[in-house]
Amino acid sequence: MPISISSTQASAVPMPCTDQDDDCFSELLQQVGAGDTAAFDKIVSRWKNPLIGFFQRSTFNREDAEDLAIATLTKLYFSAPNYRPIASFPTYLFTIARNQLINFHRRNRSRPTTSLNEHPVEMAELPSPMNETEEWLERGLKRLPEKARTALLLYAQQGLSYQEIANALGQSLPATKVLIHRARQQLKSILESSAL
Amino acid sequence: MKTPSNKLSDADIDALLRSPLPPAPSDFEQRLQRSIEAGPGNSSQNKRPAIIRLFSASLMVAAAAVAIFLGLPAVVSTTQPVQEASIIEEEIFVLCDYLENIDPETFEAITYYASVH
Repeated sequence: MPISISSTQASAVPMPCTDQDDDCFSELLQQVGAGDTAAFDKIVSRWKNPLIGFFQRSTFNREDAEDLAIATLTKLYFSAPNYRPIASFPTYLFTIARNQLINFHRRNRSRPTTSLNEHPVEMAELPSPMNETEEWLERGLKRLPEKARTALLLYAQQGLSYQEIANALGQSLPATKVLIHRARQQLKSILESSAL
Repeated sequence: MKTPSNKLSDADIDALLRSPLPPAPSDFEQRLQRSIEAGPGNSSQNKRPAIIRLFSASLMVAAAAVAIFLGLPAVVSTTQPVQEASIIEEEIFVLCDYLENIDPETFEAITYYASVH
């Protein structure tokens, strides 16, 4: 299949839904599965920055975040023919994203629940100068277990519902609510104790 | 948002997490296109030949099974369940490190099995 991913949001093919309506992306992904690469452009335009943001606050490394976002979108592209809209599009996308993240941690043989200074080189590799608040937040996020941090990011950063997160993590709704609540309290406690 | 030295509310935490990060670089779409053109199996790094992966997978599954049935039940006792379970999960994590592309559900099933037996 010839592929052409444009860097602009414009597309010659009229789309049946707007960028703001997440439910419509299920329909777009089905169109991708049917061979409509313009629909994939639309998905990439809408979700590339949220994915990079999610991965940057999960890996603490911008380069890895971009690579993981590309891997996730690649996986999404090739899974499109088999996609069935059982769950919401964000649930489907971030389930793929989390699987990529788990594989990333496995390949790097490092668990994210580590000490504060474990990745000094990675911190230094960030391309743009981070302000103090961003560094402070990253230090806090690093101390959360992977699952708790992912759940909290999906809720607070990505705006997924509790049910969507529960589906993405493969656990019950009550357990997900507890996980997010505890993660937020833990992060709050860490940040307050390491105030600038 | 409050300054970092203040007490933080839930809304402060959520606002911090929502704070914007730099957008995707201009060559992002080109890199994505190259990744797609390379095919579905080429996004993962350090791929080994299929026969070696199969042998390695078989070996590690056997090792994990031996560990689960012989060693781990003795460690996971009712007196120290929580801490040891996490240690075991870590051990299995390392074991499964050699299994490329193992799906997370299988990994969680193995850790669950080890933690309850």
